[in-house]
Amino acid sequence: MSTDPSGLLKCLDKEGPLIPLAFFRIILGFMMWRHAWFFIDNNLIDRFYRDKFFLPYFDWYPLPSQAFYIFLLGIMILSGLFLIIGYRSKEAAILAFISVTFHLFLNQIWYRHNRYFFLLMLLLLVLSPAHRVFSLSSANSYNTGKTWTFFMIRLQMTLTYLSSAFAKTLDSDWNSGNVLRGRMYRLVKGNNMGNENLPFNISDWWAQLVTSDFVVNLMTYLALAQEYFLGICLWIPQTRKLALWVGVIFHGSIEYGASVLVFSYASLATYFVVVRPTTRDRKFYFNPEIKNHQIIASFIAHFDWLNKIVLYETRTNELKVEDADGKRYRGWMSFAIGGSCMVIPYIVAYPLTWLKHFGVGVDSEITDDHELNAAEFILLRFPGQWLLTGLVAIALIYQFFLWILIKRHISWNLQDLSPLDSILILVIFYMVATYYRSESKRRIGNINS
Amino acid sequence: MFAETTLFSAELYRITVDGKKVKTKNGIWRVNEDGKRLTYSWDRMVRDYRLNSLEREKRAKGSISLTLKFFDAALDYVADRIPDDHETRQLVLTVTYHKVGREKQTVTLESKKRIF
Repeated sequence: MSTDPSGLLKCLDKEGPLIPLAFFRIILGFMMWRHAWFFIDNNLIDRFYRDKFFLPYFDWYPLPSQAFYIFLLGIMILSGLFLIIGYRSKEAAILAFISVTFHLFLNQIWYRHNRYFFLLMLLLLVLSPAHRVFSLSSANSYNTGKTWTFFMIRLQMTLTYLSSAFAKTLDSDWNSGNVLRGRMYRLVKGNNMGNENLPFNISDWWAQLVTSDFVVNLMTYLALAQEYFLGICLWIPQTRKLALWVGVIFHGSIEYGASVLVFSYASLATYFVVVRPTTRDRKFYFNPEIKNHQIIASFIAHFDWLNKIVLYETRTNELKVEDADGKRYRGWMSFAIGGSCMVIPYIVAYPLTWLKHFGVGVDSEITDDHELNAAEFILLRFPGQWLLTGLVAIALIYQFFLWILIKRHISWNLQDLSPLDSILILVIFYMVATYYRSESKRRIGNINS
Repeated sequence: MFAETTLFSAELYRITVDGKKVKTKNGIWRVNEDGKRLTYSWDRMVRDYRLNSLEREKRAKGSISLTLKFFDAALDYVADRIPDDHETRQLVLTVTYHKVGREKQTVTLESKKRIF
């Protein structure tokens, strides 16, 4: 009898680099703060939630005292911090999952699809080996491990897209365009929804245009097509990068237009595990004697957080890159291809790489070179503890800025500022990635000596 | 399943012990009790899910069916938390809602009858 494992078991046993899970974990950690902060602001600072109308799911469900509620939110904040910095992150993930679950069932009014989605993501984080990478307790911050949870996270995201698309397709308000017509009306008329004569009576020509049947139907079909596209094409290798790009714009515009609590960022977090799970599969050639090359190479060393690029020293006067498929490109196309592997420049660099299909920047010369370790190229070498201290300080200053200065004194809606969170997340990525990269190098150096 | 575009506004009424239906002003009402004037406010007791700010038109969060369900529970909640109001027998909420592209509808919700 054959003892070969089935395809499914093989899939479960597959190993790969775990770096994407580290970024998934960091974003979920940050979302723990965002999640907790919302409830601190609305249900502690405003008034304790049991001192106003609430509706538990079950009569038998234990209701917290105010002191316990503060403790519960404190657990969320702390577990978020530990998930970000990678300290006892397995335990932190379990605590995060338990605290968010317990909290969700305290009040029916708090239910949102995005909070349930967040809960599922935390469950997958608990099951994943995310604690083994970018971790204070691991000797090698760039560990490999079982990647079956990558599949589960992608599946969850796909189900979210497809269920949303199906539900909207079947819903008469959506497929008739009424929902988007209402949103467009809100957009052109601010928050004044008190129009007695809907469908709309708007005099401005552009307002009439954006609420017209043609525009509204077009937008409805595009919105639906986008969700089907993301649900399907994130799985297909040939369309994956395009789908990621579309998805970043899709979620970015949702976050910018109507901050949906934790949904946008938690969805974008899953994109790290959609990325092809390979590392060091692009070669970037630069001449260290040319200043511009130095700057670009150091940028890559700082921001190649997914460890996709190997830097090579060469004597040619032009930047060159060897893509994952072995094809070589030169000039600005090499920068575009390098940028399309990195988080920050991706949104701009990726569309530029389409030009390579038209023969732009193709290079056929053989290059004489030798490999450099990207970690050696990091210009700023902060001691690790300063990076982590800085991380906490930035988070506290940020929250202080939002809450004390803006909310208390300028009475600005916090949702208007939510896109700023992405800057904080990128700063956190930078600090954590830099810390662990230099830390790994130091530890490996110690082992070798 | 996904947020519909339904606009609603709600008005709060009191059914007094003598059977009259009295409208509150934006969910605020006053009663005399032992020579003291007591003021009650719906907004102080009900704040989330856009169930506050009565008499102002808003977009329903989630769906109108959930909004109505929560309004119904909130009525009983408020009725339980006005022990010194011996003039109000029952609270009544009239919710008028309007799904985009459809006719307006009105629903009347009642709290449980208060026993003094």
